[in-house]
Amino acid sequence: MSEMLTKLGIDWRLFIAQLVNFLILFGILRAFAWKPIIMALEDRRAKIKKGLHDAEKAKQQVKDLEKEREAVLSEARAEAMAIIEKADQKASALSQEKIQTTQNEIEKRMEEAKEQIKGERTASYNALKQDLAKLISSATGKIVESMDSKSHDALIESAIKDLSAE
Amino acid sequence: MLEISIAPEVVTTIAGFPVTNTILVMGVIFLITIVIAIIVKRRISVHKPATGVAGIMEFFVEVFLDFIDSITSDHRKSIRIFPIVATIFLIVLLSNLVELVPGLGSIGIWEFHGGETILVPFIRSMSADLNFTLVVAVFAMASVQVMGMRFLKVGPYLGKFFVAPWKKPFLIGTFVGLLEFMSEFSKILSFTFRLFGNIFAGEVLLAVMGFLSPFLAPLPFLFLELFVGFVQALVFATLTIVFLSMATTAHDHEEEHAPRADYSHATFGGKPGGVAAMNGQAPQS
Repeated sequence: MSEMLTKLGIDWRLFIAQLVNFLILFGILRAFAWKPIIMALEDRRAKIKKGLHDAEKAKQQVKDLEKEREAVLSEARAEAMAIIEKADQKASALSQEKIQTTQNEIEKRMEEAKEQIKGERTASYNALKQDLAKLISSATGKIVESMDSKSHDALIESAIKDLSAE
Repeated sequence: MLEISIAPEVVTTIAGFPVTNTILVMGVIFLITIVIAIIVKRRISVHKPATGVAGIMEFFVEVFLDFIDSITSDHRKSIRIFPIVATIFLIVLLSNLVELVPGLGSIGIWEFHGGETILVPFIRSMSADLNFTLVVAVFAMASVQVMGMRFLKVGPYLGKFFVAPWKKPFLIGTFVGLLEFMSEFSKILSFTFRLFGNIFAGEVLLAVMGFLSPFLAPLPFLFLELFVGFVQALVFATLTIVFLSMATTAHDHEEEHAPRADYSHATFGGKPGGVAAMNGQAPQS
């Protein structure tokens, strides 16, 4: 057995030496190469993942904001519409009222004017009546002078009756 | 005349310790690796990708980690077994590529051995030395056992191999367990001789071709050996990943009795809290 190993070149001293060398190399590589590189890679990987996640989040946020803006805008539009409608209604009501009051005024004025006209007519008619009565009495006086007092009175009576009947 | 020796040639002896040419090459690779490691440690940064040697290493780590992920399909597990597998891959690859170095088997010193003068070359691929391949194989299988015990806890892990004869499949289970236990050792042998055989054969092939026709003829074989060296390193690493992945996964019927060990807070280099804490973030539940 040991002869075979010797023929194959296996020597426990060499084996130990190579083993020690290899283990030292393993330790050095692990501490100085593999660990820092893997740490850097993993960190970078995590960072990239986080970046992607953040980007996705930002996108979602923008979308949400857009939606919100749209909602606010539509709400504002609706509100504006409502206000305009209200104003319209108010204006029409106001004008209606104005028209009403104007009409009323006109009617009132007309009434007044009619009243005045009526009053004036009555006054002028009264004056005319007096004048007429004077004229008639003076005219009739002339006639009556030539009449007896009886027929005279009867005549005056009937004349006054006629006048007031008119 | 061409000398082909299975054992690595002894260049000199220091205080009774035989310094072989593979030990010399190991020293050179040792230095190269340390330089690479120091450069990486200095240059690596979270904020931007490294350039130069560190960049190449970073690229290698990223690709290799994805490769391990595709086998284990568990990122945390991949990160934990990564140092083992990556070290094996890198060192084996470097030592395999040594056989392409010019002067292999031809630059050396003449020594007397048993009455005849033979050339002892300075350069010999470590993978063409059974001592080295055995070291890597033992390291790989030992780390498989250690990781298996760490992931599954010692009891359930050993329960894979030692099944009591009165349990469900009765004697069959016991026998299969013992077979698996034996196979752990045979894996060491297969690792050792696969790598040794391939690279030693490549060295011999290159030496013979160079001896027969020094110009042009060895060129295709150099490319072939470049390929073989890479593939053998990859095979070694891949098999290690597969064995690690197998060892760290509980048997189906055992999962009912022994819940799988919780390795979400696994340590990396002894720091508590696992990889997540190492990165400065809370572990995800």
